[in-house]
Amino acid sequence: MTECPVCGAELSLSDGLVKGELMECDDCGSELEVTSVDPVTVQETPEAEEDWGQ
Amino acid sequence: MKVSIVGGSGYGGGELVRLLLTHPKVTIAQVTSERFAGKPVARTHPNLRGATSLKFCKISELEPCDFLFLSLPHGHAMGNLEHFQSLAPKLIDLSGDFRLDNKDAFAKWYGEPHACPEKLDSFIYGIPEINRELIKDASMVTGAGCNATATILALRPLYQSGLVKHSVVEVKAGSSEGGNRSSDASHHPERSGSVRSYKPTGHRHVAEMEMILGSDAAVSFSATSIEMVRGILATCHVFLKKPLDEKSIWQLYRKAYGDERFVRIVKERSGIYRYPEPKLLSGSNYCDIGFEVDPHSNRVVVMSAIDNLMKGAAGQAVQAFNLMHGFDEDTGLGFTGLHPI
Repeated sequence: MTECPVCGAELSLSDGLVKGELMECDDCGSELEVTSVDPVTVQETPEAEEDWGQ
Repeated sequence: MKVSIVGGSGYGGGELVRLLLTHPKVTIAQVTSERFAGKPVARTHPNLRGATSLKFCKISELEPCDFLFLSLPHGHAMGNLEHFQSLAPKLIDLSGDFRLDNKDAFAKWYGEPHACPEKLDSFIYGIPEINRELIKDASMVTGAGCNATATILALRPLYQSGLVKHSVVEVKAGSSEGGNRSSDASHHPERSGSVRSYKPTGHRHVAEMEMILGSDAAVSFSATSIEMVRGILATCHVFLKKPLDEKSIWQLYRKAYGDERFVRIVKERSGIYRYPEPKLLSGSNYCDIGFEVDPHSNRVVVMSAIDNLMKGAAGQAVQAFNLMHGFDEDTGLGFTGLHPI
């Protein structure tokens, strides 16, 4: 089982994952990058911050 | 099943009629209104034009039925409970009359003695996500306060963890919370555009919050009325005894609500609505809950949104009604809300 590093949800992994592929967590919507495929590991990709309230 | 609605001219009563008209297990027998007796229900609730030919009747004209929804102003249910019990074997009261489980708390928060304190422990507090099994076996259920529902569902997983020092809750509420009777404050030139601190302290719903969450970690609650008709957004600042990381909080909320039909965890990394938004829930029975961790102040900010007339009143009552009769919990409650709105 591979879990989301942000929210801990179990990730649904498709066949044929490749290193560097981007995916999204179904629960929290975090964008994740596959960092290895055997075993499957992922890390959160950086996101652009909103800039409200200046 | 023959169901009657006592007090059907208010906003909560109108929502009950709307929901029950399409409920596959229900036939609405009677809807009462002392003010509009003899007039069509759809005259008062124009969204129901063509959907029903029911006319309001007086309470004195009520006939026995299988179930009663009481949607009367404060004080009327406790003053006439015996009569209502003689008409139906089971009932739900949407008012505040039977929400608290002891007469001293009632006198403190409602400023008057309870009319039938011996009945207080006969009612089950009607938030299904908390009292599901008790509601299934109950003959009398009390609806929960709308602000209390939003706050309790937001806070309970953290309070159950035992890690809360105290919390500060600010509710932004729509004008329909104030009912369908006008006042000086609701006059359009006064109400329009205002952001009114209508209950900075002392809101009655705090009593329900303490009853369910416990009084060890205080809830400091304030309510502000904003430019919105339906909806509540509760922003809960929860101060912790020790830090919790984001994943741990996800796990707490997922454990509490992961299988719940009407509670959704809304905390998304992209999109326009990343946190709970009341307007998306109009007409639906959902409670959306999101959160954000602030390590700087050792605080978790939990946001919850509901439609005050639905999950905060009629929708939650129908959800409890379904449980009381062994129906699927979401029967008649499938509406998902609108977007855009």
